Amino acid sequence: MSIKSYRLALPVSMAIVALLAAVCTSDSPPAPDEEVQLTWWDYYGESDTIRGQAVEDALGRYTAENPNVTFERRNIPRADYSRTLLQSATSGECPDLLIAANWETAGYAEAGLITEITDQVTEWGEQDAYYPTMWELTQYDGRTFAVPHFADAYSIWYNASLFDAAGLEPPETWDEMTQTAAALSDGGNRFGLAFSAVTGSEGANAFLIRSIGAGVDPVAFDSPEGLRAAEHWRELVEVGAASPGTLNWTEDDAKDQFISGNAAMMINSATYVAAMATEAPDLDWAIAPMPIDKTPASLMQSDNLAIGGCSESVDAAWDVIKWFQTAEALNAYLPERGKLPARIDVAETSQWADDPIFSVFTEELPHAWSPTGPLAESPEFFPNVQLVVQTAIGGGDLEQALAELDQKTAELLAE
Amino acid sequence: MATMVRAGAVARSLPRAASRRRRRLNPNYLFLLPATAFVLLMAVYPLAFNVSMSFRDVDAGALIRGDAEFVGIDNYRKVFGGTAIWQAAGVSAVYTAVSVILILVVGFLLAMLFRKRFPGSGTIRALLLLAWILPSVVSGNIFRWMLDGDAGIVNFVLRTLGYPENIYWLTNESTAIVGVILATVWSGAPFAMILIIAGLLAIPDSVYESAAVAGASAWQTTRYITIPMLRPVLLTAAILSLIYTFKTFDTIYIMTKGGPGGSTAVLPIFAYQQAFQFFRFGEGAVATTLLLVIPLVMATVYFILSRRDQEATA
Repeated sequence: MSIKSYRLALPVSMAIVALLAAVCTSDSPPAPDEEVQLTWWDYYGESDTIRGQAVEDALGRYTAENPNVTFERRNIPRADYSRTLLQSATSGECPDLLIAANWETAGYAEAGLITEITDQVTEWGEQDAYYPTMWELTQYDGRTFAVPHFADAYSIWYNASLFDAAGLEPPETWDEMTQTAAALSDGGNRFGLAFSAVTGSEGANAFLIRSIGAGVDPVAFDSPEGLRAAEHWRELVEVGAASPGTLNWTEDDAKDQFISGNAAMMINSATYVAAMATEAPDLDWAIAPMPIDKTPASLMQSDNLAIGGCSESVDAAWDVIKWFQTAEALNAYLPERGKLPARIDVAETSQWADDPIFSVFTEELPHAWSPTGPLAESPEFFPNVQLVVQTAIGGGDLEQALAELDQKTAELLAE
Repeated sequence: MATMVRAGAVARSLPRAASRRRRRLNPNYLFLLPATAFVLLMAVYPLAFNVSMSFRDVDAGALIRGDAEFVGIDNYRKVFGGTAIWQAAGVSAVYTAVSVILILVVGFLLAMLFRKRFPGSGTIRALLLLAWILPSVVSGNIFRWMLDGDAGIVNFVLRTLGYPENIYWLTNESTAIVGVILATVWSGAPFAMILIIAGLLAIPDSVYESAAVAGASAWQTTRYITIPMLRPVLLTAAILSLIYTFKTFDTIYIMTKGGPGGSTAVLPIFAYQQAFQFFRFGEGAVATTLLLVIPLVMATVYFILSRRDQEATA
């Protein structure tokens, strides 16, 4: 770009900023009689799925309370979600409201895909009600770009009938896990424990929980604790407590193994709770806390709700975000789709604290780990961790795999 | 003399006639416009954009703003300086070479089988074609289930035959590539079969009859008549299968996601991961440029070889 065009660029960009500011400030809350249609994008599934239906029910409840606001919801498959958002944004289109996975939120903010809402949040003043890790994942560059939509955590799902028949109790420590899972494997198709170890992000989840429980610092895996965790994963397969097939299982696959009775336990999140009634009505299952090694550990997942970077209905959209975080809205919406409240005050109410299933998951939330800061902004961290899982289960030098992971993490953080 | 004058007049009037014709023809070129615009817009522009992106530092924000900084060959240096692309290129080479050879061998054997009609041959041939018509999402998943370590039918058969333990085909670094090659050959071979059958039918019966009269064995007939006369068809089948196999993404992604440990991560998977999982569009574009150049070289080789073949037969 020549100096001349820079000279031109400055006034032009200032004019654009001024124009945008004018558009934004002129966007007052919609008057009750003003018809507003908000576009909403997520990756929760079509309306004939439990999750998709739950979202549409919630949006319907909002419209029932605010008849002038309607929604046009679009479900985009998870794998295509970020790409679709990007492609639309390059042609100047975006939804008014969109779901952003916690670890993708900062990236979306950096790219201008979502709108800053620091002022709105400050005025609202409820940010302290959230689990701190979860709130941190709505921030980019010290500013707020989203509000947590829900939380999720991992616990141990177990097949109560199999445990009763074997006279066993769910394991409380990771050492017990090996023995219990081995005892519940039948040497054929049934294994004691199922989890995802598939190539990519998902396959790192269970192992990260195990590692953090062993006292691993995720940016410095190459340690006695990291080796201990990796060796434990190897041992689970070697003693027949887990199948080598886990390396090709997604969390959905692990759930299918559990439902079909081929796994006595699984490491999975609360997300499948809602589906169990229809998918496995006869299965006698329950939830136990994550086993403990040095420290209690689980993995936190949360999705955020944000306003599209080019939305022209910022105030109307912000009202929807606030509404979704009211106790009434959360208590109706979250159980329907098997997710947990991201707000401590809601998680402590009796609907959650006294529920035999959900209470186990919500108790994991205070110590559940999630990458934050630069680590959260790098989509490569989880797939890199999975390579250690691959070495642990598939064979290879574990110390070398751990050292390589640390080296890659250091490179990511240096970027 | 009169003839010469006439000839001169004709010669003089020629340029004028030509220019008249050109003027008349000119509007006809307008009919090329839609097609040219289509090709420019749908093929040339995206390809040029991709190549340009490979020379820029493109992250998600830069992609939207359209202000990606030109960084010269930095992306190329970064990608080719790493080990992942070389591993992906190696996996691609093994996967493509083995798949194409097997596709041709199996396709040829199937074609020889179906050259002669027998009861049910039409139906079986149609059923085989189903493998080729089937969307790769379906065939990929079928093979994923069949090769499942705990509950797959392949292990069930092996165990029934006395093999002592389950083979975890798709989760073992050395067998995963075998699994994806099997699925690729299964869906690719029927296509080669159809091409080769057409080639076989074009070989005149008289050639075989003379061979029979001369006392040629079945092997000799195949080796010295069928294969040489099938050369152009085999070349076409090889190049088309090569391009078809080289750009495979879906079958592998469904079966292994490029794992375990990158052992089935071919170049298209590498490009996908860079661009759409890690949002490194510049580095992804380097890989897709490579994906563009390699088939282009293959196609050029094909055209040169087939032209030489035509000239030889002419």
